[in-house]
Amino acid sequence: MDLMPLRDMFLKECWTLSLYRVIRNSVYIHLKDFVRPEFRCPLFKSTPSRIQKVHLGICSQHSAVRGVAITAYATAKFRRKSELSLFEVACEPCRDILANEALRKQIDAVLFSSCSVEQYGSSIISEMLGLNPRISHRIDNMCNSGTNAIVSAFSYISSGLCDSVLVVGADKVGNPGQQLTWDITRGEYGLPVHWAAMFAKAHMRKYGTTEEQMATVSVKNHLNASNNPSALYTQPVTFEKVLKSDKVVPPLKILDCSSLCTGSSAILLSSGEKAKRIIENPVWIKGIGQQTNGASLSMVSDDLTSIDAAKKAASDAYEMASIDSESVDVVELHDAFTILEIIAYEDLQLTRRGEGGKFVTQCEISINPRGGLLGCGHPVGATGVAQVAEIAMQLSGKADARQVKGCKIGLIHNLAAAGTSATVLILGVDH
Amino acid sequence: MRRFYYFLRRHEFRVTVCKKCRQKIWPPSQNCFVCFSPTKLEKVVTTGFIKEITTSYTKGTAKLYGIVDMQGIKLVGSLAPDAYVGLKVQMTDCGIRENGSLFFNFDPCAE
Repeated sequence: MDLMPLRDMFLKECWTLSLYRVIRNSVYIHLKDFVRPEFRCPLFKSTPSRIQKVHLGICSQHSAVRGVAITAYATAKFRRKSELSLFEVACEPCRDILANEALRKQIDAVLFSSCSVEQYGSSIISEMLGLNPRISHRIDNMCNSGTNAIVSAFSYISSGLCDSVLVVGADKVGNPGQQLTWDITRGEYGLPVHWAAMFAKAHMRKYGTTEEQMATVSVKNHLNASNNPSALYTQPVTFEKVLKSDKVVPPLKILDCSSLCTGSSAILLSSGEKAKRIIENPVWIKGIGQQTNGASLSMVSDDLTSIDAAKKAASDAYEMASIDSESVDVVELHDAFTILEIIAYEDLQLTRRGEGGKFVTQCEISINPRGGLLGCGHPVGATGVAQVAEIAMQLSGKADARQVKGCKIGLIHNLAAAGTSATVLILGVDH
Repeated sequence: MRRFYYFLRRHEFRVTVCKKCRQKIWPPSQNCFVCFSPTKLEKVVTTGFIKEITTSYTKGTAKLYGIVDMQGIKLVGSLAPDAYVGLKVQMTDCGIRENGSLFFNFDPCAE
C-alpha cells in the first residue's frame, strides 16, 4: 500500500518520521524530532517514546504495508509421469501467464519452488521463458515449499525491492529430493504414512474419530477433483470403495493417502499499484502465518492430535488479516492424508478441538474445492502454489463448475514434514 | 554423525550430549542447540514408554511399530506383538540395514 497517507498524517501532526519498519500489521516508528511534545497522536495510547509500536491492521487506511496482490495464475495438468524434463514441466503454466506481453515485461523476480535435486532451476526456467529477472532463486521447504515461495515473494514486493514476482512450483515423481532422509528419528519407518497413521490413531483414541469420517473426507475431495481438469484423479470414489481399499498403515488405507505426482503451477504477484492497473479486482494477500518447530519427528508435540506449527501459523495469519475463522468462505488445506484434513479443521479454528471428525459432514463452508491433495495429487514443490492459485481463482469468480458462490475470503493451509513446518495464508478481494 | 553411525553399525545406540550444559541432542549434532558448545556421543537410557502404536503393511507383512519416548529422546521403532500405548519398553537392538535404513527394536520391560 502507498506509504503517503501515513507519512502525511504524521507530518500534518508535526511528527517527523526518520525510520519505520513494518512487521506484520504493526509499524515501528522511530521519532527523530518530536516537535510538539504536548501533542498526542491519536494512534498512541500513551506519551510516545523514542520507538513506538503502532498496531494498525493491514486494511486500515493508515496501513504502511505495501499491498501485494495476485494478478495471474495457472496450473498445468497433474499426472503420474511425464517425458518432459522438470524445467519443461515448470514452464507449462508460466506460458499461460506470460502470453500477456505486458505482464511479461514487468517481472523482476522469479522464485522456483521445488524439492528436486536438479540445480539452478530458477535461472534455467528464466532463460527458457525469455526472462531476465533481477532476482532469481529457488525455495525448498519440502511440502510447503510453494507457500514459502509466495511468502518470500510477498516480502520482496512489500519491502519495495520488487514490483512483480513470478512464483513457479514444480516437481516430478520419483525425485529423490522429495524424501527427508536427514530425519533418522523415523528409523525404518521413513514414509510419511507412518507418522500420519500414528496421528490418526491418537485422534481416534482421544476423540473417537472414525475411519468412516476419514473416508468421507476422501469421497468429498475426490468428488471435488472430478470438476477440476488439472487434477490427477478425475473420477469420484464411493464410500465403500474407500473403506475397502487396501490397508497401508491402519487406520489409513490407500484411498486415505494422496499420491505423489508430476505437476506444476505458477502465480504472478504484483504490488498493489501495479495490480490495480492490470486487473479490475485483484486478489490480495491479507494474512500470513508461518511457523517451523524443527525438522525431525522427535520435535512434534507429545499430543499427536494436533499440529502446533499449524495452530500458531493460523493464529498469526488471522491476526495479520484482522479476521477470525468465521469470516473464511473457502479453504484449500493440506490433506496429504484424510486425518490431516480433520486435524486441520481444529487447528484452523473452523471447529472445536476434538470435533473435526463430526465437522466433515457438518461443515458449511467449502473445503478443498479443487480436490485437495487427495484428489489432485501432490507434486511436492507445486502443491502450495496450486493451492493459492485455486483460492485466487475462487475469489476471482472464475472457477467454473467448482465455483464457490459469493466467496470473499479464502484460506490456504500447507504443511511440511510431519507438521514440523506450517504456512497459513489468507486472501481476500477487498483491500 | 559419522561416529553415531560407527556405533550404530555395532548395534550401540548413542546420543550426542552437550559437554557444557548436558543437553541431549537428538538427532545427533556436533554442537548443542541450546548453548552451541561441542557435544560428544554418550550412552543414554534406552528404556522408554510407547506414545503411539500401529501396524505397517508397507512391506507386505504386518509389522507393529510405534513412537517411543526415552526420557525426551523420541524415535520410531519396531515393537513386540503384544505392545500397547503406555507400555514401558527397552531398546533391544539397533543398527543399519542393507538398504541403508536405520532400525530400532523394542521389547517390553519391567516397570
